[in-house]
Amino acid sequence: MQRQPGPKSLRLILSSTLAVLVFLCMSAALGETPLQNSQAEARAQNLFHEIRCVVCQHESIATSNADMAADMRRFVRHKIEDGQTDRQIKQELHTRFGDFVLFQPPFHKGTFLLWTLPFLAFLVAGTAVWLYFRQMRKTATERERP
Amino acid sequence: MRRFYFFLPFVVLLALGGYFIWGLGTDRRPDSIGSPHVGKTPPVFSLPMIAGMRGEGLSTGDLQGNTPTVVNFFASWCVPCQAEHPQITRLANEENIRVVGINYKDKAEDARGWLQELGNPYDAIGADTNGDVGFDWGLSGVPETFILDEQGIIRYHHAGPIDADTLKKDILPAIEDLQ
Repeated sequence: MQRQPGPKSLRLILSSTLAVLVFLCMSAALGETPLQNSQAEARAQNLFHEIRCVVCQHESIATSNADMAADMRRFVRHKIEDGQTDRQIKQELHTRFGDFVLFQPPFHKGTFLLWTLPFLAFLVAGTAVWLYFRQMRKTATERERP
Repeated sequence: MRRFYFFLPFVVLLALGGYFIWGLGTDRRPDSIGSPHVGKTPPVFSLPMIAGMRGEGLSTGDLQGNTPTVVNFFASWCVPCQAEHPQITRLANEENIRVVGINYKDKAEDARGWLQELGNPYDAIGADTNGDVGFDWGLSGVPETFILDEQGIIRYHHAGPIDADTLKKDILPAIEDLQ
């Protein structure tokens, strides 16, 4: 009987190697150079997921194939190398592209409804449900009295 | 009180329905994200003219003047830019308006050929070959058009091509308001 390494660990090794290779190929193909410092690059990757691609507007710049997304990724990496904080980088992008570029837009009167509507909707629905059950209880107790 | 609860879902439905119907209106561009630059001074930049063409190029200082300035981002590889070219030409022919262009991510020979074929409506052109200036202006594509007042403050932004209708209903009135 052949001895094989445990299937689970083998799969894990193969898939992570594949993932790294795919990423490297993609980076090369897209003409993108990740940052030398792996910590800085990890920071960049995290930031990418928080920034919306202004062309493929449902995607973050981490996943979008648009030229503009590549420009934005290059910009973020450049700013990280310049020593800017995450907050500063997001502010720089916000100055250029507006609220829409951040998946978590700043809270001000223009985005007030965007932020609060889910809670308000929940409050309204919750109140309606509460009132409904209260009404049901009232009619139930009313029926009990002969 | 019962009746209020009875009709409430229908009222909400009508309100939402009305809102959605408005949202489907043909004048709306749902992918338009607006511009944070309206009301502000433009980003600082200095661009040369397209290689091989005569001209001084374009920089921030050129955007203030005796008349409102229209800044139009265009590229030879951009089909809607070609479609809006007649409107840009009409705009340039209007009195008391200055129309300047920024050539975005274009090759000099392609841009020269394009302008030669269609005509050059611009008073001045800046060649933004790597797109850095467009990036600073928050471009999400081409064409995009900005209108600045005489002090050089951005007052109006239009993403996408300008058709005859938009020129008449939006652009020209916006410029008139500035004069």
